[in-house]
Amino acid sequence: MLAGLDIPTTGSIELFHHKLEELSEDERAALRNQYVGFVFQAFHLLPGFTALENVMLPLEINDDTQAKEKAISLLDRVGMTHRNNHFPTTLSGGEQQRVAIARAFSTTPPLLLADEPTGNLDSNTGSKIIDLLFELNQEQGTALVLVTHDESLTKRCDTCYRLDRGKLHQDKSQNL
Amino acid sequence: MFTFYNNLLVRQLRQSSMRLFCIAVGIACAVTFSITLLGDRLEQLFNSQAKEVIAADLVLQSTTDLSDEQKAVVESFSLSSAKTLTFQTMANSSAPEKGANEQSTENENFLLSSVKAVSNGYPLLGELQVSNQLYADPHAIQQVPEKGEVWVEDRVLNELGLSLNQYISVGEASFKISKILVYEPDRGNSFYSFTPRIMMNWEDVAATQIVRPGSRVKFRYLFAGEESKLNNLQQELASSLQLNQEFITIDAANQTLANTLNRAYRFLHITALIAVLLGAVAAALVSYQYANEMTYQYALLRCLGLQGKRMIAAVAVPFIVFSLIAVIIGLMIGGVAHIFILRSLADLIPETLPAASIKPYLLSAFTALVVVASFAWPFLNKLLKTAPKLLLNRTETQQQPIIFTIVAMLVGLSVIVYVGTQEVKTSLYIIAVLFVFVLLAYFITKNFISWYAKHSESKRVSTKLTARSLKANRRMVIVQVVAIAITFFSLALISTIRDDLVASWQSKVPDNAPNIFAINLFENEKLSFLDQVKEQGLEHSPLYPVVRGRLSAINDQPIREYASKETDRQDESLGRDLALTWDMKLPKDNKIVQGDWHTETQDKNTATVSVEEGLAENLEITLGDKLSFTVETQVVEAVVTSIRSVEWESFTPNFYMIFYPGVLDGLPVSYMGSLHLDKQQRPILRDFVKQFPSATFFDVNFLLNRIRGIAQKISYAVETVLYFALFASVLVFISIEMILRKNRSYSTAIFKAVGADTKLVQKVFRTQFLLIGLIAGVIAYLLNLVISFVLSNYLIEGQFVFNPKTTILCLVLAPLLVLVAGYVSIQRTKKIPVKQLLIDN
Repeated sequence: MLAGLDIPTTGSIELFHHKLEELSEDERAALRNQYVGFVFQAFHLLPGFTALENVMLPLEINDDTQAKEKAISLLDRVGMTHRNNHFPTTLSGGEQQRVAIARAFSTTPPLLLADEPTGNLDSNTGSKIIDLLFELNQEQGTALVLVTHDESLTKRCDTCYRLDRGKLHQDKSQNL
Repeated sequence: MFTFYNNLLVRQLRQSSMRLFCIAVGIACAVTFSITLLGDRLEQLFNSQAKEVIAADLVLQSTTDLSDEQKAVVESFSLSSAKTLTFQTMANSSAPEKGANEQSTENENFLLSSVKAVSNGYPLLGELQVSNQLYADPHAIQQVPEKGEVWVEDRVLNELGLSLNQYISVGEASFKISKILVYEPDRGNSFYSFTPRIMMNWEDVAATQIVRPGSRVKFRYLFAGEESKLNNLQQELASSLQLNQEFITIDAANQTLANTLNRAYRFLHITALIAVLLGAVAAALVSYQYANEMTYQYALLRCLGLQGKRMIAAVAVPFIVFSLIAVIIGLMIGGVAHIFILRSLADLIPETLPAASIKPYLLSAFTALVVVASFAWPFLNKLLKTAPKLLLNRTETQQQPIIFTIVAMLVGLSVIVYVGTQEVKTSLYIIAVLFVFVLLAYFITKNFISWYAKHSESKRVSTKLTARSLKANRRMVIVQVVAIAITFFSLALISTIRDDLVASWQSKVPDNAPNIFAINLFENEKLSFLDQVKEQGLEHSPLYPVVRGRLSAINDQPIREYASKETDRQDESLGRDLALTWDMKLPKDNKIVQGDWHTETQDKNTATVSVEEGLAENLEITLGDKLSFTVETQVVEAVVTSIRSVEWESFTPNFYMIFYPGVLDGLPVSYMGSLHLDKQQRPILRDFVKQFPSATFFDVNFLLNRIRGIAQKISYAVETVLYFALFASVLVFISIEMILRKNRSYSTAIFKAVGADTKLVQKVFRTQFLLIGLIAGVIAYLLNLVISFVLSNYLIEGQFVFNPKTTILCLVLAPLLVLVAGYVSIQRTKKIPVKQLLIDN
């Protein structure tokens, strides 16, 4: 809901001075393109697009003339240069998530939403992915909103909220 | 156990792919059913029309009346029957003692006429056409002449100087001329018989006192009814048949009309074939999708311990049930479609068609079976071997040898094509063309996608995304393009050939086709007749000299021996006078098929003759054979130097025998020709009749119109079937779109999640649809050009004519249709929120 993929039935969400529930589907899409990056638990890469094409997608929608260069450099940054022209089905879960992270950072969004980014990965790969996510977050100065079941991961975040039986509480114990 | 299968069945019915499977197999079945049903009923109708030639299903012809025993046998069969009696006699215009006071007896005229007495119920098949005024439009009539009345051909009135309601004498009786007889179905195609017809009631025969023992008469007993009964009747009477008695059945193959119909009917079948094949493709596609969806369910069943026969049953039972549902739905849809087709043809076919035989039902069920077994089962077969380990790794897919699928499909394709064409050679041609077509379409589409992807890199985002989406779904796009291209190719080709076919029929009977035949013009009238015709500016054929003679011997063997019943050499031209002619020039519609046409340089002392192909074939006449003809009391001999094909449908004078000039010199000769008269020019005919009293003029307008009507009917029927193929192609497109829908909704979700707006997403899809339609259209168009060019230059022997209709069909209609169908299919995705789409996928 925070990303405007869905809108609230009651209440209001304001994102970058825009009330999401007042925006149309297309206006919310434009807002996402400009301000929000995504990392999904299920990666959500387009199967018929190569790794490079998947990363270029948001840049191209933004009519970025440097799309290809930026995408290549991001894939290089996530350690996937050698897999640029591979299709998602030929990549491992970890590799797919790296591509998804590169895609999420491609438009240098001020806000990055990560929905259980390690949920589909083994712990070793998962921790590497989290390291990458936080590194890029640091480099690009993005606000990262991370949703996770992994308690240890919450320790690396600045603020922590816990969703318990439908209610959101600030978890003060986790705050640094 | 029943509950298990039942639950399985119900759950699988929820799968959209299984519902689609029912639709796809249903379409193949429906198309086959509606077309074969139409075909079957039309065939029966056309057969009965062809039977009009003998006005019955079966005729027993005899020169004497049937014996009492024979009559008893005939009656025991209680078939519909009628009888006719034909004899030649002089009719005269003298006024009888009763009535017709205005008739003058001073100018008593005589005319050799062919009298036909008919019983009630005649004709059993076909109908008589009469008019109430000279040269007026004829109408059908369901009765025979009343007692005391006759119907006569217009020539009788002209030559005897009589008019309607006056009296004519035949033998000892006189009759009131109540109608003009324009058409009788069993007159045969020798419409230039030499004696005009007078038709009377059977009960009036006795009064004429002409028919006595020994008179030259021809009795015909007409029968109509069930084929088995007719066969039994033939068998029962076979032993008692005298030499002067014989059964006449129609040999459809010999009828020019039947040939034309046959060609057209094959067309219908081939068009239907395209629709069936498209249905099969759709069935294959949805089965592929279904197998993919079901893999995990069956892996799970395996994992839970289902094995052996129960596993086979778990796959096969739902499949068989769905196939049966599909067949039932197919038959129902096909039946409804059939009604619609009949309605669209309402003006062209009789209101009540003969009932269908069992054939369409069996054929459509069989077609459905073939589609299921060879196009769907190969994909489902892999479910039987589903490995439980697939549950552990969902990305692992289970492949099966592709060769099995290809072989199964090829076998299925061959069977379907053979069922559609009923001919090995045509089937092979069609399969070869399909094969080359698919290969070409595959390469063109594949290369286009690569080219487009390469060149779109520097273009707008929508172009780039379109190119990538096409590339991403390349395989399915190729299947779509091939399916659509093949449909439009077939539509274009059939429409081209249909136009050629109709044009060729129409060229045989063009608007200015000769509709009047003039015979019996004498030498002294010839020139003045030609002058008259030229003066009036009438279209006409050359005047051919005609000598009447009979073929009496072949290679000195008398014809009775040569063509006896044992030799199987039979031809309808035997036993009657033929019109023999001579000419140095080969008539326009004739073609030499063997030997050489007469030349100026040939030995003047060797009498040579050119023989018509069909007669030569029936009587096994070959080049170099010596033919003898009896003309009055003289015998003429000639050696066969060429065999010709003749366009009997061309309505110009045609001849079985054309001699070298000089061979028939000194024999009694008259002249014959044909000409065209418009409706307004009709009165000229009366002048001709007066001016050339010895000549006879035949009006064949009615026959011409009949042939034109049939050509038009067939052309409409073909067109209706074309719409079916078009409908099937849309269905293939939609079934592929349904398979791709998941993929498309996923793409839509991701596009939107990363910030693309609806406009962009829609534009990407629209462009894809348009391109798919356009590539398919271009491929269809180009191949149609090539094939029509080859056909018209090498096979049909016509001039290649650029057909603008196919341009519109392939280059405008195809892209437009795909665009609209695609647009409709993605509308559902458009309304679903992105979140839902991501969750669904």
